[in-house]
Amino acid sequence: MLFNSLDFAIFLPIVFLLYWFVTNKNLKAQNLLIVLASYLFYGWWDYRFLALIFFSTLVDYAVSRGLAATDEQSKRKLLLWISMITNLGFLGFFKYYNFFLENFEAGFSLLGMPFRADSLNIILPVGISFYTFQTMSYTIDVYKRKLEPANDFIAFTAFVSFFPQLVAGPIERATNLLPQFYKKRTFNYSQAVDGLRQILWGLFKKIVIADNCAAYANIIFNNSDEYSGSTLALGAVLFTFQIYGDFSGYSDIAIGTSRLFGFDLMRNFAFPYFSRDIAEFWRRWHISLSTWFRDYLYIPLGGSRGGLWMKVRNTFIIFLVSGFWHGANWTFLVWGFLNALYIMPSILLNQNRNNLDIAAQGRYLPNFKEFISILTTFALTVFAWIFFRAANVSHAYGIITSIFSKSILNMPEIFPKSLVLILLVFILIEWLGREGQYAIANISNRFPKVARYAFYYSIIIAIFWLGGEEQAFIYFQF
Amino acid sequence: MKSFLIRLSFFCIPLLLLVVPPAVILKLSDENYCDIDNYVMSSNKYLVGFAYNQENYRYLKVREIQASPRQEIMSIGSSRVLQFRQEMFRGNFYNAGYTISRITDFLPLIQQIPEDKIPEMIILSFDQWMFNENWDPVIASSMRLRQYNFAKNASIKTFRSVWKDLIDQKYDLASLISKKNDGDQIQEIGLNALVNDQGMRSDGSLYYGDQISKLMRNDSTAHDYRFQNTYERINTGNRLFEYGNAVNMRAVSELDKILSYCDKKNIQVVAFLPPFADDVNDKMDRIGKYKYQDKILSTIQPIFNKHQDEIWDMSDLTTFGSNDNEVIDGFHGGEVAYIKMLVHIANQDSKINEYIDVKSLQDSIQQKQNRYTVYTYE
Repeated sequence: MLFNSLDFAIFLPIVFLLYWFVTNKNLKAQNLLIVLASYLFYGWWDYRFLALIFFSTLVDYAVSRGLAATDEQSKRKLLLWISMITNLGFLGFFKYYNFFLENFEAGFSLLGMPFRADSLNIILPVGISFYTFQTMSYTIDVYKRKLEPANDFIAFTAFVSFFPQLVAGPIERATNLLPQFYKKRTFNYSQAVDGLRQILWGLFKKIVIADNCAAYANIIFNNSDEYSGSTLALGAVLFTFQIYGDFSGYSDIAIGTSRLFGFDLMRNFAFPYFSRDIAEFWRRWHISLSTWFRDYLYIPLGGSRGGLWMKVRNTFIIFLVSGFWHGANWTFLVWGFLNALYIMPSILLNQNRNNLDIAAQGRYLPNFKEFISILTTFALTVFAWIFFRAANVSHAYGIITSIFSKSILNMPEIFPKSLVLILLVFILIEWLGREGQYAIANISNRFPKVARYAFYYSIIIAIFWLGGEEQAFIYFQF
Repeated sequence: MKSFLIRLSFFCIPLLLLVVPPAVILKLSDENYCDIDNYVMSSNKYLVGFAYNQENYRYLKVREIQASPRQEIMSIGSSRVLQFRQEMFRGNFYNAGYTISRITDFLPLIQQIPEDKIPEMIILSFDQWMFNENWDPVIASSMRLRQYNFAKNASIKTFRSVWKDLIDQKYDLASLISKKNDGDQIQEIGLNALVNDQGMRSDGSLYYGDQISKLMRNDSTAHDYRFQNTYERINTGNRLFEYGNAVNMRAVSELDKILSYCDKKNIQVVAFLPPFADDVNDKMDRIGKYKYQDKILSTIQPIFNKHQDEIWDMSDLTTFGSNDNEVIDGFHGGEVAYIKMLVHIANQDSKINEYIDVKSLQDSIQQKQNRYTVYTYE
C-alpha cells in the first residue's frame, strides 16, 4: 500500500478510529491491532512475503529469548550468528543473488574459465533492507546487553512490522521504539496535529516535488544520448530534488503517521541540501541508516580509535557497504565510493565535525562563505546522484562526459519553467523552516490561525493542482 | 480526541468538495474504480473508451488476448491498426492495436501471448516514424519498462483533469447519468465511450463515434479537421513528424528480433506501412524533409525476405484506390480504406488470402454505412 494512494487514505482513518476508540483500553489489543494493520498494509502489495517477515520476527524473538537464558559466551555468539545468518541470508538471496552470479560469470570468463549458471527470477520483497536491519540491531543490542530482550511477542511483532516505517524506514533502533510498545499510549492533541502537519508536508514533497521532478528526470536519463550537457546537468539536479522529495517525504509521512498513534520515531532528514560540507550532509541525510552503520559497523570495526589509517579504511568500508545496501548494482558502489572520497579531506584534516550547528542559524541569509560551502556541497552531491540514478556505470560515464563537454553551454532542450519556480518556492520554505524538525513544523508559533489555515489549504490545493504523475517511492526498491 | 475529530472534520469539508464530484463521475462512468476483468470475461459486447486512463487499454488488450479463446489472426500496432475488425476476417480475429508506440514495444507485447493462444498469423503495422533516425533512439526494452497493469484507482492528475473538463463544460453529471441508463445493449465503459461515443469494441477495433459524425456533417470541430493539426506537426517537425534523412538501423535490428521471435513461434507475419492522407503525403513531399520514408521499404524488405514474411508499403492510399474522403484524419484511414487495402494486398498473392474472403469484402464496401464505416456495432 502506498502512502500516496486512495487505499491508504481509507486504511489510515479506519485503523486510527479502531486504535483510539475500540482497542484504547487494552495495550495488548492496541499492539495486536498494529500487527494486523501492518500485515494488511504489507500484504496489500504481496501477501506471500508476509511469511518472510513473520519468520524473521520469530527467529529474532527466539534468539533474544535464548540470549536472555544464557550467560555462556559461546552459546550467546552462536545465537547471534543464527540471527545474522538468517537476516543477511534472506537479504543476500533476495537482493544480491543474481548480482553475484552475473559478476562471478563475468569474472571467471575473464580468467578463461567460462561457466554458465541460470539466474533466478527473484522478486525483491519490499522493505527487506529496512526491516532486516531493524531486527538485526535489536539482536545485537540484546547480545551486547544494551537492551532487555522482549518478552511480549505481540509487542515485538508490532515493533518489527510497524506499518508507518516498515517498508522504507526510518530504520528504528529497538532501544527507541520497542519500549514505546510496552507503555500505554494516550491520545495527545498537539502530537496528533503535528503528525497531520508533517504528513501534509510529506505528501507535498512526494506528490508535487518528487513526482514532478521524476517526470523530467526520467525522460532525460532514459534518453541521455539525445540531450546536451546542459540538459543532462538539469536532469541530475532534478533527480537530486526528486530523491530528496521522495525519500524525505516518505519519512515525514511515516513519522507523522506514527505520531497519530502516539509513537515518536527518530528523525531521518534534517535539511541535508543546506549542508556546508559532506560530513554534515551525512549527518543530515538518511540519518537512521547513517547512524546504523556508525553504531553497528563503523564502531565495531574500530571506528576512529586506531589512528588515521584505520579511520580511512573504516570510512571507505561503511560508504561502500552503504552503497551496496542501496542496490545490487555497481553504480551504487561507485556512489558510495565517491562519497567516501568526498569526505576524505575533512577526515584527514580532522575537520569532519566542523559544522554541527544549522547553517546561518538565527539569520535569514547565509554569509558568503556559508553560501559557497552550501553550493559546493550541493554540486558534489548532484554529481554523485548521477551514478545513483544511471542504469549502469557506462551510462553514468556517458552522462558525465556530456556534462563536461562544450554542450554544457547550450540552452537546455528541456527547461520546465513552472517546475523550476515550484522548486524555488520549495527551497525558500525549507530554508525558512530549517530550524524545525521539518520545514513547516514551527508554523504555529509564527503565524496567526487564519494565515496558518490558509497555508495548509494552499499546500493541499498545490498537491491537487500541481501534483505530478503518480510514481512509486524510490526507496521501496532498496 | 473528540475535539480533534470535530476540528479535523471541519477542516476536511472543503476538501470533500474538491474530491467528491470527480470521484462520483469517475465511478459512475467506470473510468476508474471498476473491475475491467468482469467486462473481459463477460460475453456481452462492450465499448471501452477511457478519457484519462489510456494506459489501461494496454492492460485491456493483453487481458483479452490471455483470457479469450485462441485467435487465428491478430493485428498489432499503434492506433493505425485499429480499423481492422472481426467481420473482415474468416477466422477468429482480435485487434491488439494501440498497444505499441515504439518499435521496441512489439516484442514485449507478442511475448505476452500464452503458448496455447499463439495465433497463426499476425498483421503488424509499422508506423513510418518508428524508422526515423531522429525520432526514437530505440533504447533496449529493458530501459522502457512496458507495464500491463490496470490503474483502477484515479490519480490526483485524473481528479484534476475531471475538474478542468467540468469547468470547460465538456460534460455534466446529469447527461452522464442519462447516458449510462439509456438501456443500450452495448456496455459503455469510460468517459470517452459515454461522452464522445468512442472506444474499443470487444474485438479490439476502435469505434470513432463522434469524430465520424462530425466529419460527415463537415463540422470544423472534428479532430484534425482538414488535416490542420497534421500540417502543423509537419510545419514544426514534431509530434511523430520529426524530420529525418536516414533510416534508424537500430530499429531495423529490432525488427529482425521481432520477426525471429515470430519464426520461432511459427507465426506468419504480414506487415504494412500504414497510409497517410493523400494531401499529407503531398505536403511531406513538398517540404522534402522526410527522406527516410523513401528508404524504409528498401531497407527492411531484405529482413522480411530472410524470414519469409511480407511487408507492404501502403503509405500512399491511392495505391489501393482510396482517397482523402475515406480518412479519419491525417494519418488514420477509415474502415473502408482499410478494407480496400486488404483487398489490394490479397490481390498481390499474399498469405493473407487464407484469412479473408476478397469477394465478401468487396461486397461489404458496396453496403457500407458511410464513407468511413462499413459494419455496424455502434
